[in-house]
Amino acid sequence: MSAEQTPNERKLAELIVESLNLEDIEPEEIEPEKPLFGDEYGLDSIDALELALAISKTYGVQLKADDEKNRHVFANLRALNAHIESLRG
Amino acid sequence: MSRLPLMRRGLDAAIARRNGQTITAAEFIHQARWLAERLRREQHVINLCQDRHTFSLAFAGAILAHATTLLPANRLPDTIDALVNRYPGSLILSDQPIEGLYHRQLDPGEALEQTGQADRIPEIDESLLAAVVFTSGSTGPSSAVRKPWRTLHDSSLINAAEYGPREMTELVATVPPQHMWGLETSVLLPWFGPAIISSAQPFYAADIIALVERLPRPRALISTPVHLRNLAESGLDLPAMDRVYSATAPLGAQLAGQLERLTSAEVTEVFGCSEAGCLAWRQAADDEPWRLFKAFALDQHRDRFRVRADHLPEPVELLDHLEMLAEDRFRLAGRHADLVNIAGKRASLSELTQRLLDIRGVTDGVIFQPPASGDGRVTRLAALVVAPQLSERQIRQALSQRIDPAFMPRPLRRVPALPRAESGKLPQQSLVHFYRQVCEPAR
Repeated sequence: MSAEQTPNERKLAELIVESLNLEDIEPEEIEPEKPLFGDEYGLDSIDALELALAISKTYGVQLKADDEKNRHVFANLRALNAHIESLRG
Repeated sequence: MSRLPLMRRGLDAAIARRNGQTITAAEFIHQARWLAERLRREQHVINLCQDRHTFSLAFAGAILAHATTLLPANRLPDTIDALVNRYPGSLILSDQPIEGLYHRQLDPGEALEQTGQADRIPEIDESLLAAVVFTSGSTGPSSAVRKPWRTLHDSSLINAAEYGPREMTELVATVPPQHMWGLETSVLLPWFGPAIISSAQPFYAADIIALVERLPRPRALISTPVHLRNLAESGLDLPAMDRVYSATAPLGAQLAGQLERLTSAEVTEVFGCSEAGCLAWRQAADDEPWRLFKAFALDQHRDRFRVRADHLPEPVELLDHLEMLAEDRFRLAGRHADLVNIAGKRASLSELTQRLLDIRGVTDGVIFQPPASGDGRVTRLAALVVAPQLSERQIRQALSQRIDPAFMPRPLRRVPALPRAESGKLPQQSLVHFYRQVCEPAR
């Protein structure tokens, strides 16, 4: 797996930085396979809600947490992007 | 020794729904008794259960075993370690394995499988210390709020009478049961009033909607401004509801009005604090003044307001400043400057700053609250740090081990020096001015 962002991952990284006011981080700095939540980028559950809202407005898809698989949706940029792409069909 | 019932519901009354099953008071008490047998040697338990019904069962089981339930403000390993140090021998009750914890643990899930019916509602010693609620990650006395059974019993009856449902109502809550607002509503309200709680803790707007839609009416949502704003702005069709309850932070008349239009629910905002529990309510959409619950009295002591009530162990100083309009009507007028509340979690800025200064390599620094953005979003804290040998990333990583994610400063900026006055003090005005110079060009 590549540590480089794909073009779609880059767009999503921009949305993350913009919607969460992550002034300390540049979109290209978000490594696709590093955890979004926890130590590295310091995101929490308030951010998860904020980001879900931004994603629904930008991509027209709704995130849900109703099954086990979805616990991993926000694991990292790559997983989140893949999930959004699968929802958009 | 006076005794008070564990609940005031009929034995055959439905009190909870979990995975499509309805649980009656008799079944619940039977399972809680089974669990209590396994807890009877325990003095303190730390209830970290995530499933709401399992949490309730573990809470009732501990009460029946005469054990005190400790409710930490977060699940950080540091917080739990400190709690176990302060209450040696504490048993952790958790329905999910928790990474990085090596203390004694028990999964209370087996109690859910016990079939049977209790034939009476147990009576509890009113002086039993049923819970200690921690208002921040620090476990010191300033953070520990003691809840004897009498306090929880009486405040639940007061809540049920003041703002609880009048007829049998299905409840859904987005708040964790460990937090005082979640405990009083999603755990205790169904023990004392006509309510059936759903075990789930829906998170995203789509989850909340899917859960509420499946329930018969009347139905109500117990939530916070963060979740409710997310719901209102989701663009999704919201199901009709009868009542929406909000607490932990100001809701805003505009959002309340929007929710009333979208759900046709009556939006009730509740005011309280961990020390006193819920103590006032208002219809938020009309921006009306707060109505103090009848059981409480307010007075002013120096520059602080205090509430007292017969069921509270002692008078409680409020962290908010009030504008009194009548004996039992008031408006909120700002907070004590050192204290911040982010999404229902409370912290002292001086304590947070101390955690920052504790990091090796940090020579000076401050964590503070920048002026609010005014768009209803959660305003995060900011930090300015003097640490010539560390990168901003290193400081963030060190800090994230020590403080709750809700209080992680954002932005965190390294600076050559802070604008301290000659006295060494850091006046708020020069801090905000300096912060704008350092941080705003970056936007």
